[in-house]
Amino acid sequence: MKNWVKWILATVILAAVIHLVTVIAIPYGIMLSLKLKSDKANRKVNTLFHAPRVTAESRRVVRPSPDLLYSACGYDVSKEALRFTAPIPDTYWPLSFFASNTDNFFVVNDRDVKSKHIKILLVGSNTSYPDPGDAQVVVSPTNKGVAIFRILIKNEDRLNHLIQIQQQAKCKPQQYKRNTE
Amino acid sequence: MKDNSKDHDKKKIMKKILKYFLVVLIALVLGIGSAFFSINIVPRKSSIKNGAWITNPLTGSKEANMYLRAAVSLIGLFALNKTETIYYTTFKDDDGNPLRADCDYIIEGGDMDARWWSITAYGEDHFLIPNDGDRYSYNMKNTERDKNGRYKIHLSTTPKKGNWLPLGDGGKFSLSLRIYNPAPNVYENMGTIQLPRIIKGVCK
Repeated sequence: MKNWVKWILATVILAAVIHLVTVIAIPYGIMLSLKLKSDKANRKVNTLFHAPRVTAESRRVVRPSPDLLYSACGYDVSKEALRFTAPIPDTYWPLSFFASNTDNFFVVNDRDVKSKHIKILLVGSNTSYPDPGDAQVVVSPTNKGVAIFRILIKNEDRLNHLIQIQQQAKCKPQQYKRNTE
Repeated sequence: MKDNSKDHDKKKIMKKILKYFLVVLIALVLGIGSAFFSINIVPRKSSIKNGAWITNPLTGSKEANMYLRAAVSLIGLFALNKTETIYYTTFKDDDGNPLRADCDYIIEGGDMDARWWSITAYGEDHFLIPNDGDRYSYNMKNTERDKNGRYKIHLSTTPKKGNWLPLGDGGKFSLSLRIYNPAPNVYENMGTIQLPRIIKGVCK
């Protein structure tokens, strides 16, 4: 093979690798940038943050919906499970979980929940999780990710009431069972 | 003799380093450039067009490929699947011209069969457009309608009577139509259901 052909081939192969790495890495990079923004704002992992009503000043996540109240919990279930609890409002209300590559691996909305409260235990894969009690167990495909509560503001007059409901949502760490071999 | 040979070797090494550097540089430009180009182009293959509006039925689903996943993370992070929310987006009017804040537009339509819908305007940076009244969207509840239930939403930098969505100081903008908990006939016919039209008016 001629020398210049080798160089062109090497360039094309390297470009293809960089292409794939870039496309795959972008979602992880976006999640990392969110984590860095949260760290800068002193928001801890495994703690729920109730965002104020979205305005033009809201610059954390692109294309936010001004009709929703958002609460978010950046999680890491490698060392502890997380118990999510929240009252269900009488409006559209989804709770969604996103893996570290931004895949939405689980979502539940107010119509799916048959009681007035939701209880979910989020665990990592291959973990000895604690007794979930009456909570639904959700297994996260990656140890790190983001959980998002959304509440639809159907009526501006009820905004304060919905904010009160928003504030009652919780995400609390719970210890994994220890292996006793 | 020895010095000449050393210089020759040095030149050879420098030439090789330069070649490696060029290979890496060209590969970086080609790799990153083609990645962003593909993120923009590949998801269009699975996209559905309905009038000026575009959506992708795989948004928020596990079937999304790596290009769609990257695209969603850049301009629609934390999107839900189509049974929860359908996200229609447009950067163009019904005639296919880019949406520009120095033009007036009218969004004209009726209700969509869903639990809730809303239409939101975003600036070029994909964030809400600042305005004095904090008016960023119209939805199925706050939109004024005629006796037939039809509505007209004015998009303009200057105040309009009725439903007015302010466009800020200028530049390009885009619109998102969100349909929450759509009826099955909506998410099964995303390309054919009746969606609001976007009609260009006067430009400055």
